[in-house]
Amino acid sequence: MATFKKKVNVSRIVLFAAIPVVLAALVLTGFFTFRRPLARFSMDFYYPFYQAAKHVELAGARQALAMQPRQKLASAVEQLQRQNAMLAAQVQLLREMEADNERLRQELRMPRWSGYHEVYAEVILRDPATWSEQFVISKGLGDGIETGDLVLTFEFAPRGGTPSCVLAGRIIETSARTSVVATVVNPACQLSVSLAESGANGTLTGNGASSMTALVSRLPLKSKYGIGEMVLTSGFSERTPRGICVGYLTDAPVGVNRAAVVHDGGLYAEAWMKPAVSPDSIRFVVVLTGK
Amino acid sequence: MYAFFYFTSCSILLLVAETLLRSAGLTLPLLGFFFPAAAFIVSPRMALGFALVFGIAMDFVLGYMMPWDGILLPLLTLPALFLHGKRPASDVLEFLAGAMIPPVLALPHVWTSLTTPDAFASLMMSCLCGAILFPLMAALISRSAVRLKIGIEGEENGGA
Repeated sequence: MATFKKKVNVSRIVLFAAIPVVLAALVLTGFFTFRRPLARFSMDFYYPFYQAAKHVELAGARQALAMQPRQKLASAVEQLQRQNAMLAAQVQLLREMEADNERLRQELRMPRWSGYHEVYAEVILRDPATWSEQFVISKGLGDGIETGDLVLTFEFAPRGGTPSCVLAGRIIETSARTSVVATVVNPACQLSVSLAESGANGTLTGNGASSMTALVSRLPLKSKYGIGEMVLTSGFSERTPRGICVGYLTDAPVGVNRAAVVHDGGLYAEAWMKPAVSPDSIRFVVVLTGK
Repeated sequence: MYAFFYFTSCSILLLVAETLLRSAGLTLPLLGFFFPAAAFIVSPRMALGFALVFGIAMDFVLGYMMPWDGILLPLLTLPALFLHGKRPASDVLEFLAGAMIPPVLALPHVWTSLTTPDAFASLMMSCLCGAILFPLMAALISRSAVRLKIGIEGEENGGA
């Protein structure tokens, strides 16, 4: 009787241990097999809920803005008009340059530059556990966004100067109405970069939220690099325009026993980069999609 | 059938609420409280199935590359299958279970973000909220199950 009881207990324990393992294996298999279609379905299914919540938030923000003193609002409008005029002038100059570029390309019989289409989006979802590494934006495949597209944000100049665009990250997942952005500190974000002063080219890989830095590797050994040197997109890949500010070279993160620029196995140099804009504070973005 | 609709509607709404709270910077695993409580009160098998589906949905919605919630939510719900829906008699056990759920669900992120003091303080806060919210949610599910005459407690109290 005692032996029978013991047998039953052992089988129950085995069952208790086996079920979680089998369950985890099933979940992982299903997840990776059907990940893409199911992810798109889930993200699109929940989109109206988040959009509704955003509308409520926006309505609240508008009401809060309307409650500001008139004088303050008037001065803000004046400042925005000034900024708008400056930006319009810059756009006009750029249009002329674009036309020149197009004409020169035709004369040199170079392939036509396809250009980029800008999609404005706002951050609709974030998780505190991955706050600095990734977020979900309100535009997706339906707006022409594709995996690998670059995501820009604005760096506001002090004293009301014109804001400049800096790189926020890259699209890593898309559904019809939403997209997931990996910020420059996310290890999933990789791109080709060049350094402004030395002109050297390297590969940028995110180093995680704990250090809030990214690693620029495969830099030539012969060039000299200094802390504070600007890191720009190189424009080597198809979906990456050249010259967008990504960040600045910095000291190695705390806890890493390396200097700012180190040799990578004696063949290349590598350096640490601090993002131009803190990924924590990004609320609105512009996605550059191919035309 | 009623239980199925009950689980579907509650899961959809709680997932939206949890993700919106997360976007506001608050980590309150509402689904993590709901499924274990509903497993003891309504139906353990159905709770397990829904925990699996909505755990994965949560990972998809937040853009995770690994199904952490899809694995951990069913694991938290699993004990109800072996205890045959017997709810713990002591309130202290419910408080403890509520306090333990947030750290279990935060386990995959321990190696990255929880090393920062802010994240640790946030986790402690969600433990405290969990200790209060879990018994409250269990009481709410219990009351609604009796009212809707669904699941274990609903049937014990004269339901269909």
